[in-house]
Amino acid sequence: MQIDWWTLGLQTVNFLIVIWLLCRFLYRPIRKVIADREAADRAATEAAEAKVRSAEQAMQAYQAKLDAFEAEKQAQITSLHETLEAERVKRLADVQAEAEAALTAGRAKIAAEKATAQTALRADIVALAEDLARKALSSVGDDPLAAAAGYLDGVTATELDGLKQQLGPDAPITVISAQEFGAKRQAKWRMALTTRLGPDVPVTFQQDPSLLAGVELHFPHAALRFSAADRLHRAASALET
Amino acid sequence: MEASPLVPDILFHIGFVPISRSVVTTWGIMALLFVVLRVSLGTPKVNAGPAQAALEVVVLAIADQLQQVLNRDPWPYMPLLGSLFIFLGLANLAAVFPGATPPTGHLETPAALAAIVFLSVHYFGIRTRGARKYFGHYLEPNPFLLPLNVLGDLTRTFSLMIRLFGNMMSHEFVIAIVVFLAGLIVPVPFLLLGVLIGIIQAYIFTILATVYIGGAIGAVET
Repeated sequence: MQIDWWTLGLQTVNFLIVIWLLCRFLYRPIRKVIADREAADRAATEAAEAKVRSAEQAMQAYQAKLDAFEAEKQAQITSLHETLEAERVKRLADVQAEAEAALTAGRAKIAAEKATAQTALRADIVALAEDLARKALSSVGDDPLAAAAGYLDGVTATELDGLKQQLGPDAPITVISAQEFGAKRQAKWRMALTTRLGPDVPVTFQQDPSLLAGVELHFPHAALRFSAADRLHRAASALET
Repeated sequence: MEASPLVPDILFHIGFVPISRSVVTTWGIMALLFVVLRVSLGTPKVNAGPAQAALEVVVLAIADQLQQVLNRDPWPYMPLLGSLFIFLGLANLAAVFPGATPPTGHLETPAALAAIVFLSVHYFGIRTRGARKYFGHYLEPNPFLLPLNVLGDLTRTFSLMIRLFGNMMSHEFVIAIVVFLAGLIVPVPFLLLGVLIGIIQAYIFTILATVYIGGAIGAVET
């Protein structure tokens, strides 16, 4: 076995040259490429993160705008509701005022018409009352005794007998007058009645101011009325029908 | 093929310097490396082509292996250890080229590489831990073990050299014997086996050198 020291030395140098060769042309370029690649990756990552941040910021801004729009929408809705409520209240108040005014005007008109109607009715009533009084007083005449005698003279004998049969000692004929008769007038009435109904006919006299004027002859079961009250009663009954 | 791998195969002389076949083969490997690297990585690009990508895969695989052994950044050790693997791989595979013999099949080349590893172990140890602390480990666990520790350093370097040389030389012998006995076709499987052996020996040499350096810098228990 033999060692060639020149070969040993040359191979040592050769290997050192190989180390330099590989460092210069292999490791360094590859490390540089890897570093560049990592730098590019970092840059891409940072760019992506920047884009993500930008997107997040844009999203936040968009969300803020959405929130602002929503708040503005709610404010407008609230304002609109308030405006509508105010308008409703105002219109309701106006309508109520108009209704109140119309009601007041209607009441005033009704009151005026009522007053007018009452005035007209009062005039009609006055006229009617004047007419009734005129008719009642005109038919009674100035002498009730003549009217009663005329009536008794005008009835049939049968009717007259019917009246006579009602009378007796305990069943007198009662002469009711609006004014109190004096003795002279009572004698005139008694004379007129006994002449037509018989001499034994009992005659009594009473006063009733409600007759207003005239006389009423009350038999036990009949009455002959020649008074103003009776005439007024008949006129009012005729008006009701 | 020379008569014996144990004898230097001098091809010519430059002046008084004898140039052996191993040296010439090494120059060929260096030239091949230069051409391939210039062509593949003349203008390295971030978007690598096929050749650049293949070289990146090789370099990163070596760096990953070194990191697993050293448990630290492998790039400060890549110039020595990565170059060891690449050079040994190419040198061991030189047998497949006609007329070339593996430089590692002669004693001088493994001896030169082992010497460089021996010196590098101390260089990295001192640089990392400091001279006092580094040389102090020879006194551990007991100062009386100093001779044994020194002897251990020398013998492991010697074994590193002899392991590589012995495997490659024996392979050369086997190939020569098979060619002598069986002709041209039969040695082909042995050549393929030689490819495997060459890569395995490059890997073993590099890993052992890494372990030695790792022990020197305190990253590996040796």
